Amino acid sequence: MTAAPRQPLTSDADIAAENLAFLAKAGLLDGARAHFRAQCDRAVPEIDRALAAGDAATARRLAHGLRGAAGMLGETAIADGASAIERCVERGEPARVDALRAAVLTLGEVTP
Amino acid sequence: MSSILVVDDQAFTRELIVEVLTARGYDCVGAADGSLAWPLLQAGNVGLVICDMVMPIVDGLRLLREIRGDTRLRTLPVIVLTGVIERASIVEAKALGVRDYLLKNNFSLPDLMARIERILGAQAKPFVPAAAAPDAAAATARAAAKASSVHLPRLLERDPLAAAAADPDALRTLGGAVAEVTRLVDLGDAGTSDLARVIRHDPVLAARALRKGAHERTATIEDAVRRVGPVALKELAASPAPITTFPLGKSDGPEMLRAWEYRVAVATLMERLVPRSDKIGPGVAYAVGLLHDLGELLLRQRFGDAYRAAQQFAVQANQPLAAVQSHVLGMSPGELAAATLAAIHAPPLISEAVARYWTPPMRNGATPEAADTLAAGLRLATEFAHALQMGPKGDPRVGPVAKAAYRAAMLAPTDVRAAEVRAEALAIVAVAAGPDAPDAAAPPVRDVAIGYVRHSTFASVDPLETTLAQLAKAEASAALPHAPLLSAMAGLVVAVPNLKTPDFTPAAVDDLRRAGGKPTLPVLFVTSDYGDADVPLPPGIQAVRAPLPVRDLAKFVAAC
Repeated sequence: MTAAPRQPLTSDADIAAENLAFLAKAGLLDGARAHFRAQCDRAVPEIDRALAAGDAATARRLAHGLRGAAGMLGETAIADGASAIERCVERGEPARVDALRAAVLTLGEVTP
Repeated sequence: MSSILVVDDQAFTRELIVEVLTARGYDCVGAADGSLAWPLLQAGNVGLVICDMVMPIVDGLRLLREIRGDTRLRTLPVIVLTGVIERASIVEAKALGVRDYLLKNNFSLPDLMARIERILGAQAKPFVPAAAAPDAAAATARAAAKASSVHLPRLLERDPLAAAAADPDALRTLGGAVAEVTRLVDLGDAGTSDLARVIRHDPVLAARALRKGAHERTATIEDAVRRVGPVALKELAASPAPITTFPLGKSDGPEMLRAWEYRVAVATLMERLVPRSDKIGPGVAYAVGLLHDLGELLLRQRFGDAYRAAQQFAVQANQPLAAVQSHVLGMSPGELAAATLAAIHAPPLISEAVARYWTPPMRNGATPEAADTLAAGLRLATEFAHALQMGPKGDPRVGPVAKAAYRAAMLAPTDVRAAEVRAEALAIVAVAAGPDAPDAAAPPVRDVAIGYVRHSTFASVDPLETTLAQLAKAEASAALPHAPLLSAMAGLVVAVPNLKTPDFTPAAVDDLRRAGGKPTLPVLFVTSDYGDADVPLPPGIQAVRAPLPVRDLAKFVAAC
């Protein structure tokens, strides 16, 4: 593997801020947020259904994808909600989408 | 020009990276898992892969292993972008030679861009839409691309296309007889009433059955089926009957005729290339050739503007049509073919063969199954059809076939006589389409002699030779020509495994040119293996990898 081209950033927040600035400069931020919102709107009910049906693999996969996307855009509440579901599923503990759904509801306020 | 392939089942991540890269001028395509990425990689124009690890069907590690196991791809740079932090995954990815292993929860887009630019440098060039387009869809697409600096716009959404493909009624109106072809092949042991019920759905087949049985005082379809028999019915089904059911409007008539000529040529070639066996019965190879891109007919008839725009983009982007279609039309040709074949209840062997044609299985050394042989024959048949300049627009490629690969696929030893196939396909379609059908324009042949040297490791069943013969006076030989013969040649094409092949090196050919008194004779080496990048090329000698775009070969011939 090659060396990183520069020093790594120090925090997730720094990285998200850098990504947001990069997307804004490229004129892609609004589209990315709209796409992310659509992904949330699709994924949360699907995670809910998968959990209700006992389909842990699907729930984990969807939550995992949502966490990565949220982290990229600095949507920490959604990333945390998705991450919590992932952890619960991995441990075989009961999981709920309430926190994640609440976080998604606030998304519209942040990114109208 | 090479492209960047983003493989990730997470649509948000995949599409965001594709958008960012295309906005920066890279040619970039996405795939949702390794199985969808593989045909794009096989198309040979990918210069960098950005790959997730956890994906359905074919995951990242399996895709990486396949890439490193493929002689043409083993040096392809790969960046892993994943949420997987397990040490074992990182260690194996590193052992497989990935350039970078980035974590999704800790990755920055500017950092990713810097890494990509370092790897590719100036290699990947932006795709620039052309200044003129023949129809509204292309104009819209071009405007969208220009406005947003995005390369290939999405012209169709997946859902309506998938719905159309899955609708057997739509396909029946599209070409009911095509469906009957598959059913008849499938119903080889069906009873009279079953066969009669099937062919009654299609007026053309029914009429043909009655006409064929008329000599035997046939009155009903059941009588016709009984008297004609299932074997002859299959032959009827595999005749040009499907063509006659396609309405040929004034505007799309010639285009649809050309599409059918291509299909009939591929089907005819399939019969020559694929031997019959206990698994591959009569008519199966023909049906596979006839039906392998049924989705293309659907696109032509139902989404014509968008399909023509996709063809144009493929030409402009110098990309295989299949790769462009996936992005622009929302479904890959393979997905579309699978959906249409499922909708018409195609026999499993035909569906499987077509699936393996569009997405070659990633396994080496295994004894080929019947579907593998059919798929291999189909790949060769379509190359020949492109060599004959009969295929759909796009960026078709051709190349010589290694004897070992030909034998391994268990294809028939045959003399393809491709020019005869072309004439036969044109004649069949002309008869089926009636007296008003416009003639196909014969491809222009330059009045120059091009020498073609084909190394003995390649089979004489050779789409490259056929392509050359369509472009100029060309004849294949297994050895370099004697020096005095060069005086009659305007150029020389040399197909070899690689540039280090003994007795066929660029230096040897350069010596030959000098000895023949033609030191500036244009020479094009066509190679199939890698590992020869360090071989110097004397002036006037070029080298390209097979399969090479037909247009590049045409440019070489035109410059001779």
